[in-house]
Amino acid sequence: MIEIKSLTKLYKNKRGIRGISLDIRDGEILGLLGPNGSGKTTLMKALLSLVPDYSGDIIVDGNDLRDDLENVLARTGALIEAPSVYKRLTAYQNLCLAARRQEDTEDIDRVLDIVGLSQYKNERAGHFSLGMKQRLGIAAAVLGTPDIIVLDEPTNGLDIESVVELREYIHKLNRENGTTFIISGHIASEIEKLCTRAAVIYEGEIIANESIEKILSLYPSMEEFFLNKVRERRGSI
Amino acid sequence: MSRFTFAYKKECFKLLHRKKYIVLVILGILVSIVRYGGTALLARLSEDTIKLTSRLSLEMLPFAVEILAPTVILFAVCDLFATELSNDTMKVSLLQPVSRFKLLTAKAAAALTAGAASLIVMFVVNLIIQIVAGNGFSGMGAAFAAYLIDIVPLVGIVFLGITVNLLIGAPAGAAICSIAVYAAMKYLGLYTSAANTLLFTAAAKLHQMLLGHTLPFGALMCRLGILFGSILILYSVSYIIFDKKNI
Repeated sequence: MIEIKSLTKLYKNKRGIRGISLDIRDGEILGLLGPNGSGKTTLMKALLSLVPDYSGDIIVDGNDLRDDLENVLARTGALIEAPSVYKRLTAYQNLCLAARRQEDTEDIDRVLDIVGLSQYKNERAGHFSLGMKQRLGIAAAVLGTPDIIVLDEPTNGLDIESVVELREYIHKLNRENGTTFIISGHIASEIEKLCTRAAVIYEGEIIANESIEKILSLYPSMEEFFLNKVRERRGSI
Repeated sequence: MSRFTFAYKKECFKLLHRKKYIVLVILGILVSIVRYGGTALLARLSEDTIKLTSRLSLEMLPFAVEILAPTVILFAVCDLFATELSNDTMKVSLLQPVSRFKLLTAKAAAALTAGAASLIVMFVVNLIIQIVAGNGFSGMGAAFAAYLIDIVPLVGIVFLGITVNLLIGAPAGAAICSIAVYAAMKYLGLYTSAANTLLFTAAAKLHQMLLGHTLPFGALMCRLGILFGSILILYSVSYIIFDKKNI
């Protein structure tokens, strides 16, 4: 269980996140929905301690992230923003560097097969298209089947078939391993199909947080829910 | 395998895949060959008035510890810090299950390993040239000890490079700046005696102080204090900057 309490991280331009409190239960697929620059990536970065100077608390299974960072990172896979690849190295070597534990390197061929990059494993990642780099980033995130997977706009650059395959794989991992997912996106229909719960983040604050089931029982679509909450918020400012 | 060792091996793996380090070492070897060839030619032309050195490894040590190894180290630091920050691959390193302190140390250790490896290669090559020249293993033990001792001051150069890289950020700028700062410290030490006693770069040839017994004990301790104090300060400064860095 991940408990986020009054999390604030503001950059010099005053953008970021303000006083976010959120609980993420084990085995949940949480979708963070929000427009560009709303703070989704900052929230995910704080969860991975990529932005260390935040205020507030992130508690993972009862331990403060600051005190238990190594153990949390050991069981967390992530794809944040654009996939980070070492251009001079092959796909296989990139995954060797992304492995969190020595034994994860034995899982490389399997994850390359899952993302459809097996035939390119010995090719330099610098020669890859955006979609292939994205798939390599996803492979790095799921390598070693971590307990928690953080995916920042994972379908960016993917073709329709790959999006469907990724969705099926996320559901499979969640169902079979109980993997907790935190997935961000700005396309409401995508979050609706992928997640079990959605939190709307707007101008650095969580303005709604409901299960997909409940949202769809109250609104005709995820898109309507999102627009309604954002307009409500704009009216209250 | 501990998480730190795993992280260290990965940093070394990144450096092993860059050809520039092999090129730098080959250039170093060429300098040794030219040095030997030039002296051999002079000896022949002067009909042995100028004699071939019998301890080439020791004679080439200043070049190895003051020019070659620092260059290798500063390039390695640039690849592991500024280039990673610029290419956005620092995230891959930071998502490893190690604290930032351990990651910084693993990266520094990898850069130091690259510098130390270049020194060892130079020692072996110079020894081979020495043997081929017919001077046998003369002074080999002392030379090897000198090479090993001179690895210690390189730690300071590693953390100097890291500090500059974290402050500058852009790879080309960081590489140029760190080399410029290192060169400025060396020249300042050479031309100003006051600076020479205060700068850790003056202790680059540490073996001379420890093996040559040229300094009184108090002065030796003072030099060692400056060297280790500088390393500690640069380590702390680079850690403070790295720990606060938003990626």
